[in-house]
Amino acid sequence: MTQKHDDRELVERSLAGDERAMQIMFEQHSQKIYAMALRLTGSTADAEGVVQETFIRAFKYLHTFRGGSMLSTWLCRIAINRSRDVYKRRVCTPLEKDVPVEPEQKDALARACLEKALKVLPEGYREVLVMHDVMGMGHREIAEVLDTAEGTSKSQLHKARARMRELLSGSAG
Amino acid sequence: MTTKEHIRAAELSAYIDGDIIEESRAQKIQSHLDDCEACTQAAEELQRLRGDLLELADVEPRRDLWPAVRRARAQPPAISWWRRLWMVPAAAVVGASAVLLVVLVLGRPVDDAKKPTGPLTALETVARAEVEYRSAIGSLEAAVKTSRPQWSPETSAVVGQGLAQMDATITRCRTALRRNQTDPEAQEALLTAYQYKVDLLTDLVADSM
Repeated sequence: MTQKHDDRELVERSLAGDERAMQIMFEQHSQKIYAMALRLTGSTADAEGVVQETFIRAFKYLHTFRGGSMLSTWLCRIAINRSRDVYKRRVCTPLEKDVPVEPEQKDALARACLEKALKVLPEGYREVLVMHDVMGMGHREIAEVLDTAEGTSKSQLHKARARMRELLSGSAG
Repeated sequence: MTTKEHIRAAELSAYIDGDIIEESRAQKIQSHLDDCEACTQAAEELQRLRGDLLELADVEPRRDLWPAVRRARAQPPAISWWRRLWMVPAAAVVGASAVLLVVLVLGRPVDDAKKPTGPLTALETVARAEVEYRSAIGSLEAAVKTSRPQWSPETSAVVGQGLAQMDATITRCRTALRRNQTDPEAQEALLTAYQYKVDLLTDLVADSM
């Protein structure tokens, strides 16, 4: 069984140069960051890059983490910014055209449609939807990550879901 | 709210998240859902969407990403050679300043208090450092040469230009030092110019790895 380490202790040990603590911190948070980055960028290579850049940056600026928010929130904020850099780069190099999906199962088709709809969702909607519905984060934490109001997060979520329903009903036809 | 007045989409979205805090309101929504097929269907669609999205979190990277993070951390801060190139003009400025200083120094008598106490020792130190810098530069240039074929013609041209400017700066600093061998500023300028070149070459080697 994997032991869950206390974030505060990990931060202190990492700041003291303990590489094992940094690795544990990476192991505890990287999967969540990867899942979020994958759904935000829509590309495994970009998501892997976002994870690496997030942690390299996090360790470099760990001394600025004051503990006012959760470590995961702080890491998500870095990852969101790195993901936005990916979108910006895409202005010049758009996503490759999707490979035609020929799933054998209905579930796979539904998932492919869902991923495709997520990719075309406006950036602001996608960020809130991914954080809330994919990552299971609450509106307060989302508001903290995006530096916005909880009400804005709720409103964006509703609009994102409505847009997703439209997109999915379109792709089903 | 009657059966004919459907639940607003935003409210339905909040309801399925359990975000309707007012209990009486939540009860009204539930009672409407019991009677309204359209709203029930919309609620079911939203719940299905939430469930499907939640499954998207279950993903793992294709490879272990920690080694790259660890390596990046272990390396000294990698300053891109592109950014390093701004130092070329800086080195040129250092060199030019050294020349200017020498001219100014030659034009007036040397202040006794500023006279180096052991000019020979200082010169020897510079000469020894120069030998070491040249040796390091030779090794680094050999390493850079092996990666040069991978560069685009534009990159090769920019790098070549940057290195040529650095060589010119080194030459100017050496000339200035020859003219006034005891000038500590000229000695410093020469060694700084060498250091810039070593730094640039080190970055080029690191970037090509």
